[in-house]
Amino acid sequence: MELKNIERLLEKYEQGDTTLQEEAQLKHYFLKETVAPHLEAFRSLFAYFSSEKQLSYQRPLVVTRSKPNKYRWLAVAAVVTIMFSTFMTLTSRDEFIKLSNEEQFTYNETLKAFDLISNQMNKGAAPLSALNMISTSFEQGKQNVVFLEEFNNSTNKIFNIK
Amino acid sequence: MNEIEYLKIITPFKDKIFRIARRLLVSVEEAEDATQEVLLKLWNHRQKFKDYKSPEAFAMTMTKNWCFDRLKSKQAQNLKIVHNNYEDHSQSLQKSIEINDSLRWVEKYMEALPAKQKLILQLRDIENYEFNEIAKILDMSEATIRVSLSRARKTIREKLTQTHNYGIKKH
Repeated sequence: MELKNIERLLEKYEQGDTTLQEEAQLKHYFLKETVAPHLEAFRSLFAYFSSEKQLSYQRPLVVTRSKPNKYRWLAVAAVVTIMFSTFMTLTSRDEFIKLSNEEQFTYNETLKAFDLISNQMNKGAAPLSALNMISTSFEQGKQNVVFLEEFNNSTNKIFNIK
Repeated sequence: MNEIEYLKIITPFKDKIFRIARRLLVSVEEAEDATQEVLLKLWNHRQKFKDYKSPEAFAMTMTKNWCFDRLKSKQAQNLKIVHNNYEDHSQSLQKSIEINDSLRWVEKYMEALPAKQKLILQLRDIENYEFNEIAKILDMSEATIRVSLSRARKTIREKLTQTHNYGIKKH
């Protein structure tokens, strides 16, 4: 391309009046052709522009954040469960009143039976305390053994046995 | 809109987002974070894509705003972004070393420009957008854009000629 033409384009370029096509011409000239010595400075400018255009984004493209979503659903499920269970416990009392007399009677009888079983269990547990006593006396006996050991130590000292 | 359609839309300009972010934020890591953030925002706004004539311009505006916000908060924290991108545009031998060196000068001069000029120069000379597109992205008039573009180009050219003639001509 003619040098005059290039110089004219450069002037336009600096005014910000060049079109994209004209800028492409300039780029082509400075990258591909032999550049006039007094325009050398522009070469690095256009070379820089085209080298910068090579830069690319290296990270993988991730759009969905699936993990937090999973936990969110878990939280929703937990809330639903809690609300459901409180609802059930609150309504069960009303349901008891709705039951027929006979059913209420059976329910109470069953509760009584359970109570009885529980009482008997507690009674059965009482003899076990004897075992506990044995254990405490055992502990005492063990303490006495300590005295014996002390006695042994002092005899050793007396008889100068190692 | 599902994930595949979304990726199809953003793939052509994701690198542009990254390059603009890097131009403004300087460090590669910061720019990658910004890009990721912008892409995520775009994903959240995906329903609105149809309302915009050009998703690309929308994405660019979003990137610009995000980066300016980022810069503002950095200044408020009085933190300086330190960059360490010493990459290797490997070509060959002496010539490439020389070119590399002068490219780094250009980068330095471009970095020294005010943020708006930097951004306009990036959009025009690197990303090759038309003036009306830049006007849409930056929400500025074409005339204003031409003026700051001209200023940016002049500043860089002056500095470059100075560097280039250093040691050849008297100052």
